[in-house]
Amino acid sequence: MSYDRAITVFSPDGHLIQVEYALEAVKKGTTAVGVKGKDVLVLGVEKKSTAKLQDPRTVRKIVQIDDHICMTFAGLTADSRILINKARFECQSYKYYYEDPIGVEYITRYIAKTQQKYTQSVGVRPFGVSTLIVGYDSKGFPKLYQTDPSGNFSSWKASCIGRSEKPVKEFLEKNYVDEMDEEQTVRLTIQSLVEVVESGEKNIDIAIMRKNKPIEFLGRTRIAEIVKEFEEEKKRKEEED
Amino acid sequence: MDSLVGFVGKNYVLMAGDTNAGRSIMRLKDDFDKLVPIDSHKILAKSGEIGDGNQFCNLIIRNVSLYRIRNETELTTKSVAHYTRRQLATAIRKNPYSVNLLLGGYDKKDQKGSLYYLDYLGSSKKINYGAQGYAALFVGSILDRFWNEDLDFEDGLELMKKCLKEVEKRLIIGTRCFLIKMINSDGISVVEKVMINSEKKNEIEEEN
Repeated sequence: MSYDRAITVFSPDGHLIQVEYALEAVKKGTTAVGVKGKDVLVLGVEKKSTAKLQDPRTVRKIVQIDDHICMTFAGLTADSRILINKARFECQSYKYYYEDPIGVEYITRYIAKTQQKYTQSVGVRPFGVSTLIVGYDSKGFPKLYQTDPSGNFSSWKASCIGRSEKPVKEFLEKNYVDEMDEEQTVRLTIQSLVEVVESGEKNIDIAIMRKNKPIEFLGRTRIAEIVKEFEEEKKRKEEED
Repeated sequence: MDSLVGFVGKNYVLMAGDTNAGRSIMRLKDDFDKLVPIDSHKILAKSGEIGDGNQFCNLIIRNVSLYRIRNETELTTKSVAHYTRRQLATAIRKNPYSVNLLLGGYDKKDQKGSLYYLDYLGSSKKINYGAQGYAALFVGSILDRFWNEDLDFEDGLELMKKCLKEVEKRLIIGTRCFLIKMINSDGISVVEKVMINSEKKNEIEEEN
């Protein structure tokens, strides 16, 4: 009997092969980065280059789950839609019962729980999606969480998912500093993406989540400005060397 | 016992509700807000069973929010009215909500306010002016006489106070205190919390 076919069952060496294959699907998806600053959260995504005749505005990778929570994902877009819909519903459902806005960790647990359910149910396959969830907790601290197809979730200072996960994570580990202000956090996010995104700043989307404010998508011109500044700095360093 | 009054003005909607909440002969609360905001530009004024009103309004608010998050756009007042009516209509033959509502809203697209009358049986009608509860018996004629579609805000407020005065005068159950809210392009704002004092009380004092 082949242990990696159809439903998720254990292989002889204790692996859930389907889940691991799902992680492979995530590794094929476009990169998504999340960085936590002192009192700001920044999400950056690599946008898949759209075909000439395609309307680029319909491909949105950073989505709002509730007024105070945003998420992005890497992997199968259609699978992510299901998770996003469920999460959105759960947020309103929570508010319906408890009158309070949902907590970031709560909704992360919910999404992770959902992903795990699909690794232990009949006739379904795991979600081929890892997610990055950002929001502020009840005490007002910024939080960044990551979930993956196995149903694991964890909190991060900065994280990356998708195809350029390794180089971007290394970059973040080298350059991340605690308690960054908004400007520094945005720069770090853009810088980490620019290194790996193929066609440069046109294919990057940056979203800033400030406390008690709606999410703001950084404009094209601003991103281009910052990228230009990096390139000039790089040139200067090379000239000095 | 609830009194709700509402009408559409030039580019606003004015709504008022009494602030009494009671059970049989006892007044439980005299600062009860019956004008519930559904989103930034819509108010659902509820009358009837207090528990049903709370539950039903919560349901509508949450579903309107869900629509907004899912589709990144707000529903029009007409859509919310239709949705609310649908919920009432499906409930009436299973587990009825004993609530009668006035839904007022301002739509930025049309730059116009609108008012809807909804009742627990699942009827819905777009109206220019109207009332729920006992107030409906008294204010209908006043609004017939004095309402016109070009009422600016000051005249509208005066007309509303006229209506509320009549309710206070004629309704045997004491409802002196009313909350007036306005919806316009800037959103929802509390206009006034009015305490209406009947004139007759002054007359008796003078005699003595």
